[in-house]
Amino acid sequence: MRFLLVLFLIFFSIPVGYSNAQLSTSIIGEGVRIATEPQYPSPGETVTATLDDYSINSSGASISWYFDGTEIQNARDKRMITFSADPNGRRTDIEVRLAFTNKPAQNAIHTIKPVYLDLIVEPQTYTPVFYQGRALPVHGSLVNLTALAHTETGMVATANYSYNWQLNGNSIYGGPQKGNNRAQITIPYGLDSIVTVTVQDQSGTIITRRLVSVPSVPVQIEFYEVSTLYGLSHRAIGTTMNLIGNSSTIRAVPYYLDTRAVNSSLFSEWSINGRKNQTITNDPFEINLQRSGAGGAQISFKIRNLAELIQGDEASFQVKF
Amino acid sequence: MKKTTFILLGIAAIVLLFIVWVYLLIYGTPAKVDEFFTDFSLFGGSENIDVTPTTDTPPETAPVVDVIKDKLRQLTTRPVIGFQEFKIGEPEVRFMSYAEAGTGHIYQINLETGEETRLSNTTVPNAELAVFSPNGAYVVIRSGFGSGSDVILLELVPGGSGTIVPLTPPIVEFTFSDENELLYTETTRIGNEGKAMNLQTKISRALFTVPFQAVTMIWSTSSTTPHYVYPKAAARLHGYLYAIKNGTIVRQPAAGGGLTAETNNQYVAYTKLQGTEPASYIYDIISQKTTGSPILIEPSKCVFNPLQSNTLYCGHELTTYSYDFPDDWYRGTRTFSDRIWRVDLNVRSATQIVSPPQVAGRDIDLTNMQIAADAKMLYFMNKNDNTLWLYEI
Repeated sequence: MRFLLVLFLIFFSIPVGYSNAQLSTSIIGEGVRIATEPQYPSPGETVTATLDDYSINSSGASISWYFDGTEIQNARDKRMITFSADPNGRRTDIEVRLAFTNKPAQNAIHTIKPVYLDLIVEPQTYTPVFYQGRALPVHGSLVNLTALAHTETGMVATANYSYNWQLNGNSIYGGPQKGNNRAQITIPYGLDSIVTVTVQDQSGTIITRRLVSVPSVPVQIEFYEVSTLYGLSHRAIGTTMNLIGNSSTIRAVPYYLDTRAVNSSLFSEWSINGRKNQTITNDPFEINLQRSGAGGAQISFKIRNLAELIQGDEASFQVKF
Repeated sequence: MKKTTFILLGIAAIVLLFIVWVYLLIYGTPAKVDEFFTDFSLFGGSENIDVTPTTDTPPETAPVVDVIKDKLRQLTTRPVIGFQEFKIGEPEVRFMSYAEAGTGHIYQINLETGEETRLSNTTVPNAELAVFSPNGAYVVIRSGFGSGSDVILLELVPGGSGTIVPLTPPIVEFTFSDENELLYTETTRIGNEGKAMNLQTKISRALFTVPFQAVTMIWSTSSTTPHYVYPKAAARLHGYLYAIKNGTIVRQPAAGGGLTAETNNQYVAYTKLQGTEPASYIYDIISQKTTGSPILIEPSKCVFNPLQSNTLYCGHELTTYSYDFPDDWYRGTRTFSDRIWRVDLNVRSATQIVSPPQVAGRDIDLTNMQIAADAKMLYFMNKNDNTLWLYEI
């Protein structure tokens, strides 16, 4: 019986000791390290560096921080420091040293090389020529993405780096591609999509990473008055319009409609007081209103991309005469 | 009374009437029409009597002539798509040339006398943007609504008409340099190419390339300062500011949602979304420091003082600006009633110098702000009706 008991204890104690060893080496680890937030800062960006010493017992340790070998005086015994990344993109070595009374000192060095990585989002949707802003994406439309990395010497040579593009966590091109700083995506369902791009140098080291939120907005119709002599007004009509003369031409502008639909599979319709306008004009986006007596009318315009039925809008305004 | 007496009186009356008839027969024809009713003198007297109307004697003071011009005044009733101040003659007189919306006709106003003359009657249908060369000899006009828009170069010639040169492929952003070169960008498959055109030879040379298509240029008309470029603003999309130096783009420390910017040789004034509202900042290029701006800066509403680099003039309304700004203002769904402010970038203070609603009784949604070379005049358009206005600083 005693033999069996000893055998039982030996059998169950060996695996437990082995697990502890596993834990101490691969999960808990040894020494200290520095964690930064953000992980890949831009020049001049505020960075928070935190001492990560969970693997050791640092109780009673004296902590000191160094920038390129020079101690930061007011950071003594702090576990976290905040500073600005070099505004010109120069490399900075941050070091933390832990001094113990009863065991050898430990240190960790973290190098920060701030890099601008700009993600330029260019939706391929419609805006009128007078509109000074950028178009916004709608569901199903194409968006061109360009990643521009800049170091202290200027914009990096794209061919020397690999770019890994992801849309909502899924790789767009299956993995990193050398020199591929451009991507094109189709906006999926949902309000926002997250695009991530990671840039690696030729040794495979990640030099920077960025993610941006790409919104998805609905098509938005605005109405503008067109003067026969002076052209298109740049002030939208809003909800009500007073018809001053005997007639007026109104133009509907479908902001953010997929540019591929503008000249192809498009359904559009004007209606007056709910009745479809039967008058055929050369330009489906314009309607000519003629005064008939006094009163008012509800003018509506609807548009839909027949290739992508979610892309569409209907808007109306009240005309008083 | 006797019957005989009645008969004698009757005969006397008849004789008297006969004498009158004879007199009128001989002397009664008027020499002039006006004598017929006015000359009652016996035997056609010829004496003229002057009648002098009585008048109130004016006080012994100098005549008052209103020559004082309001500092803020409207220059046009026509909608305008572009304008440029010129000084002509000796002594110099200020003139304002402008292009009319819809027609592209060019007019010139003498700002001293107010006299307006038409310089060009060449019609450019649906003209919607115009830029004048510094020497006044050329105007670039964009016309049309969308993808079918065209850009032409109009060469002004004396006599009222001009010669038109289509600029193909269509150019996107354009201005003139101080040397009267046309600076413009041309969209390529992957971005934009910046070029300069000699207007005499119509030969272009490459200046720079930008690796994206939706660009807003901050042109430098001087050869000593760089151009700047950023992606067109959208509140919900990030923008980044770049300086163009030696043909390449160099990232500047200005980025954020809805980024817009205005620059001179010392400062970058930029606006970006901060939380749920836009906020403006001033970046000092020399000291590389960024500070907050006292008012919101929209580039179309602001202009730097060319003689004082730390002074910025802006149109601004003290109101709340939405998360959707500037998109809503660009679409024309949001309008403002701007006041004009002088911003001192050294001390970060803003002073209101005029309130158009109070002075002119009008709401002015200010856009396309420009300043005279001597910094004595501000010129701008009212986006509500595209009329041209002036303010004497």
